[in-house]
Amino acid sequence: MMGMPSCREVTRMLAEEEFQKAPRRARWMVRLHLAMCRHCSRFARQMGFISRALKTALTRHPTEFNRPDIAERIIARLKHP
Amino acid sequence: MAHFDTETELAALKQRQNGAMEKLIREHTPALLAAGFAMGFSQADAEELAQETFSAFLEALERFEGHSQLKTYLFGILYNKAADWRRKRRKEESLDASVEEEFEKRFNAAGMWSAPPKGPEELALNAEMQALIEQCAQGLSASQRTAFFLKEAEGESAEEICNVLGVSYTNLRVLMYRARIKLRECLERNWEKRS
Repeated sequence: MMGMPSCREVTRMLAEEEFQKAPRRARWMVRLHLAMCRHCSRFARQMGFISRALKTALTRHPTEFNRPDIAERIIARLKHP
Repeated sequence: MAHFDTETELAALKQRQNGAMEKLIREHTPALLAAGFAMGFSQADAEELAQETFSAFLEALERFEGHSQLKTYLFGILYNKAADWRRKRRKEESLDASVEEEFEKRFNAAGMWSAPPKGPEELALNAEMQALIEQCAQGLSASQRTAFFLKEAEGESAEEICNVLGVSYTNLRVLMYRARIKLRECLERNWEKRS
């Protein structure tokens, strides 16, 4: 990516989460693009809260799955099929 | 919490020592149940899936050489078992290529937006948006849900996620890209409908 990336390229980088791993110059160009393009900037914010929402959903109840009763049932069934 | 990844404990398991199997099951059942739920299975199915995973692991114990983390190895078995179940239930995975094609239509030949994104814009993730995204996540494929579970809940590296899913890094990127595009499109659709 030599010059300013297109909206298509920016959205691809954001959705693939390759942005953080990109070379410094490419990251700087993406930031510049986002500062100037309200559509890509909206897209970037949406990617941000989609990630946060998934993380919240997947880590919400870490104790919910701490079910000794299920573990004991599995042990019993594997010992005496 | 004690971990099973030490050689002594693995040896105890391989020698069928008393209590080794129980320890393995007690320690890893919560993570396997969580993975089953994240893949969209009911509690009963997640329990059965976890049991089949332990059973398969114990049957082929000699094959586990301890190169990968035991938990990641178990996730791999669970993921493959889940894929078998889906095949039996004739629930084939959609490759979601159409999502990408549809998204491409939003850009003109120069790569600029021709149909700009709509939908929520505010920075705060409120309860309504959270619920909407979770509802949209139901539409993701099992591999996409598994990848997000391993990444977000288990903090696994891209390399480990590729091992569990049996895909290359390039495939994983495409899979995640399509998942996020699909979630965003779903979010936009439902957000517009609601307002």
